[in-house]
Amino acid sequence: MGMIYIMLIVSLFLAVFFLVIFLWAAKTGQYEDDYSPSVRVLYEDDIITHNQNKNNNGSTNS
Amino acid sequence: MNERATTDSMVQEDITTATANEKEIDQQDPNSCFHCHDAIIDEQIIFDRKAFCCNGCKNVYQLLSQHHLGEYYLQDEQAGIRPSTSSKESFAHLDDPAIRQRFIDFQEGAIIRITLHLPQIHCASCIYLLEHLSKLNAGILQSTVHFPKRLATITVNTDVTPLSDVAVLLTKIGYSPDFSSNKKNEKTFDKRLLVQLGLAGFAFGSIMLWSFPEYLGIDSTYKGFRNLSAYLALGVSVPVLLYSAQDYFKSAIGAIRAKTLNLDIPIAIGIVALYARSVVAIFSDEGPGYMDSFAGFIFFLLIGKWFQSKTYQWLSFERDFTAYFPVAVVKKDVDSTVLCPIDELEIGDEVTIRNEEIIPCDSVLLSEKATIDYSFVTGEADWIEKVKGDLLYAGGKICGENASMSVVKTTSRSALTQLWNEQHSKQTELAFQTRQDRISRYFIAAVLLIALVSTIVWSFINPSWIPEIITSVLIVACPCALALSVPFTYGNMLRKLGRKGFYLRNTSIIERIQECDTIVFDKTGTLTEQDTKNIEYIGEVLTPEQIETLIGITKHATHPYALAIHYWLKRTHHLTGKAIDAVEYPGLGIAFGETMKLGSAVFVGTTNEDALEACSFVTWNGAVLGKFVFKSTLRPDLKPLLTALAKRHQLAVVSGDKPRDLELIKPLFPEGTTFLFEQQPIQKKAYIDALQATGKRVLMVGDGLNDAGALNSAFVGLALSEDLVRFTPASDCILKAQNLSYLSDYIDYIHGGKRYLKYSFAFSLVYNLTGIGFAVTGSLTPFVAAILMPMSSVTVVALATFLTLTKKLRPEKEG
Repeated sequence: MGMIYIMLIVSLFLAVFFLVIFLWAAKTGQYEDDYSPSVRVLYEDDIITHNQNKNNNGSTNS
Repeated sequence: MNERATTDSMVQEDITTATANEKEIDQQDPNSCFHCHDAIIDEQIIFDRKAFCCNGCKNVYQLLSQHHLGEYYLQDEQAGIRPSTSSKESFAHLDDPAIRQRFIDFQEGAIIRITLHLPQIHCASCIYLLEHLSKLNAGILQSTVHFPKRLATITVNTDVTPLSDVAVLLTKIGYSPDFSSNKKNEKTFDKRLLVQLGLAGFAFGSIMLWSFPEYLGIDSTYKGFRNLSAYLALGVSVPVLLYSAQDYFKSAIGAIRAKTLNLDIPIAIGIVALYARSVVAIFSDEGPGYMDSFAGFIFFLLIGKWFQSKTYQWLSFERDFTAYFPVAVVKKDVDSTVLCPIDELEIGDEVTIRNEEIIPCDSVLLSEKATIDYSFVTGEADWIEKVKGDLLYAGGKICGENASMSVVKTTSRSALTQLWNEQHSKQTELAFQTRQDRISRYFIAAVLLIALVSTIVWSFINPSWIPEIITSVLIVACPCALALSVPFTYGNMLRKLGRKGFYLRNTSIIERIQECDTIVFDKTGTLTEQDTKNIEYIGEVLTPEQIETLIGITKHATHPYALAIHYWLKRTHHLTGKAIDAVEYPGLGIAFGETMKLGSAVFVGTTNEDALEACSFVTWNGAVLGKFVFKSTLRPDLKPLLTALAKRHQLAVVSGDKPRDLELIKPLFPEGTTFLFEQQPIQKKAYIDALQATGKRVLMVGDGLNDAGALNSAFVGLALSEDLVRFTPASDCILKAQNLSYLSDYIDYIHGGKRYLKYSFAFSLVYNLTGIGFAVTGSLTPFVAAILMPMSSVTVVALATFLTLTKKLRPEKEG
């Protein structure tokens, strides 16, 4: 029976842990745009355009 | 037609349509533009073995492929947007440090971060392109897209690229920034609701877990454990009560203060009863009470709310007429010109309005002459010539050369503003009790009465049971299923209609449409559309030489009329004319020396008897040959639509035009339809008001700013839009113009919603009555009542979703 007390506390902390993660994600706006990141991850830029950028005299892109 | 290639400076390869299928083109459908996917009318422009509908699309493709951004077309089937032309001047206000302050987020030296609202963002390719702006322009350091809000945050080095160049670049690739709505300051997504939801979900899950032994029938032998879980549950329930549920309490208290009943009152009482009963249970060592049901209840309620807010977060209808006006105009200052925000204009200021810009306030024309398109204000598709000294009203669009004018009324006092500010706001909003509130008013009265009666009865039978009974009655009667059925049923309907191109502002508009008994149509732009393909030539017969010349001089014209004449002549005479160098006067016409002129009546030096006709005159060596008349044609499938609508509604037509098209539209309407012509915007509004004064509920279907007053006065204002992102005057709903013929289906569907809601209400009523029956006899413990409560909600939600989403709606194709 003593075990269940420990489990109770553990479950509380586990739930609080996930709650905190959720609140952090909500506060930092991760639920705001659920579409663009899924597209962004698929870009294959670097292969395509490096040479081109050097021709543009590379003065900016930092 | 023969294959005949012509080469000139503008177009690299130019082949007539008939040869399209030969292997020169690497794309599936040679009849749709590779870039914007519009159907190619009349003439393809072939470039890099791909077919384009216009030079603009070709240029965008060229721009993208030069910078190796060809992947753009792989991101989404419907990638491109038809580009529009624009000048650097129209974005000049972005380079003025004082004015741009309103738009930019952050500035450090020459580095500026700006968030722009780009309403044309619509697919994965858009994100791809906009996030690679740095490849198109060296001055752009970084760009990030926020898809649901249609925002792009762009970091620019203004030493390299001024902000106006960024805006021009965006416009050139098809994303014209919209400065009118200050979207970035709006919170379209409610973080607070998300936090409330998260908290409630956390508490719900945790308490259920801890209550599990309780469900299995743990008894007082394990007192220590029961107490621990009970106090833990009490602990996590406090933030749920104080934070997650606070909106219901606020709303209930607000309603009580205003001496009305709303649905949040029974919900708030139910929450309090459940919570108080559980707290009592915990402190009297009875176990965790009903905290699990309490948290679950709040959790389900918030899910309904979240669903509601999520459905339409991206549509903003609240626009006023100032959205159409430029944010700043060029003002003449002693001997230089400065940019001046339009709210700061004063009487007597001299301003210059450029081609395609809208006159922000009533002014007197100072230039020799100006051509103005008043179609926003009067609904007439024609241009009006004004000469020096004429009064120009706000809302007119300058076509052609720049015009300078002197302000006589400031913006807030202009004629248009008056129309708008004239108590157009929906006063009915307050008087209108939504069905939900009406029902719940009886409902809560009945529930309170039942609770009271059973208290009295039980005080004779067994007074010690009274708290249990009251709590059970209040919990089981809590109309949460009722509360959820409306947002879910109507929320689903909004979503479904939205996918068909019919956008409603919120769920209360659905109920308003159900109440409408009269539909008033505007004519121009609503029932008819300007069709540039339906051209008639009236006048002397043209000689082959004249036709050749006409085709030649219109070849590179920019005005739609000239282009339409070009294609029409080519089609009817089977010719491919060579381009002839001619001078185009923007907004007026085209001149080929003195030999040939094509343009407006004033341009060619004649007068038109019918001032309302849309036409272009043609002259040959100074003599007028004739005119090309553009007919307005009716939108397709009006007859079945109007017949279907007439079953439920009375119909009327109000138009700003002369009764020229009466013969055309009269047969479409059923007997007894009212036709009113030559109505000024203010008269349209007055007509609507008069109808509503007799107790009618009017659905006004209009298209433009000239209907804005009427749209606003009407019980429901429906704006037709050719292009959903632009030109949507403040209205209750927006309908894609090409889906107008399905309007009757949509209205039927909306009326069907009432039935779906009745099913849901009936279900929850039966549930509640049965529950109350058991509760008052004392055979239902609060615990069972609290378990039943969320279950009924889930059932109602499932029912509402099923009923609304299974119904088929035209058109099949969505979007």
